Amino acid sequence: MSKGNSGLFPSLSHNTSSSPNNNKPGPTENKMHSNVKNWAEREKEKLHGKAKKGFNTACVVYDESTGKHYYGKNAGYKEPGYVKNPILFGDSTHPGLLPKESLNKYPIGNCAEVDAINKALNDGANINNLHMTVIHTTNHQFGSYKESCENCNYAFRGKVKINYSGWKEGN
Amino acid sequence: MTDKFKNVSMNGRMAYTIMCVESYLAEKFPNKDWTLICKILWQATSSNWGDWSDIYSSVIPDVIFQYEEYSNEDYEGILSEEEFQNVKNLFSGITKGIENDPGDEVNYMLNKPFEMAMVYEGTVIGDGKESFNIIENAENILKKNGIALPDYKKVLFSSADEHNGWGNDFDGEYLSIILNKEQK
Repeated sequence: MSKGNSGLFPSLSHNTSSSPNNNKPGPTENKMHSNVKNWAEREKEKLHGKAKKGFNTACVVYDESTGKHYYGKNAGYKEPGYVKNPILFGDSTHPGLLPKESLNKYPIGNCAEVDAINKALNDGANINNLHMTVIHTTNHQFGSYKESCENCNYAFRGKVKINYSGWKEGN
Repeated sequence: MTDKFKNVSMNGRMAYTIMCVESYLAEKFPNKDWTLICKILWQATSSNWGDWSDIYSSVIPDVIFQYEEYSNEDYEGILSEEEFQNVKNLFSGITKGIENDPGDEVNYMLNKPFEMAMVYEGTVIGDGKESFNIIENAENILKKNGIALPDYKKVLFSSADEHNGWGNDFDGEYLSIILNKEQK
């Protein structure tokens, strides 16, 4: 497709990714879903007490330029050693993608999406190359898709490549 | 049910749910001191629910019963060791800490505010039917025990027009019948 030698085919210079790997096709929606579900089951087994009770969301993001997966959970930002990526959280001179004030009743950075995307960005990913799936992990809704909240809509809609779980309607 | 709370914010629905819990505790166990539990409960209306749910879950029976001994990791900064033991003693004999069992009424009711904080965490409120179900489940326990429902009009001030349906923060302690016994 991108053989420029004959002059018949223009070179593919409008790639949205800065990756040298010419963007791999992503896993299917079903594969993303089973990946995050399996991860969430393993996570839940490791937890007990308050942590297990409070675990309600899991997210997987796939970087199509590297083929890597990153997983996140709600309140992941409270884990020891968490490094806030300035693209999301901003720094002393620049705002981040996340809103400055929470648009709902939960603190900025609380979401599973933020945890997963933060890991991806800290690993050098470009947010435009990310595919995302978010699920409930409570007992009665385990595995069901979870539409993104107001804060994540603000930060990620129009930026991540695909969100299989859906965005807030009308936003 | 849906009509009563349709225009009430999530924060207002939380307040009403806490009022239901208090009505239950005050009626069924009037000689027990619920002050600590209620102080933590009413922080919900003026706190973010990511942090509040972590604090409150510490005192729900099905959680605290999992800890045989005080855990610094999970309880430091929330309950002292003495408070931890006092809460366990408070629940002793009146609940087995069985999750999602309406038969274990104390644990079931005390879970309702936690469920309200969790139900839309990380997502959107939508039509709110899940939150109405939580309220209905709490009210059913009160009805089953012949306990009068709280006055829902006391939370109408917290409008679903505020803060994307979540409602503005407010100090809800004035609504407490346990912390303000003279208003009972």
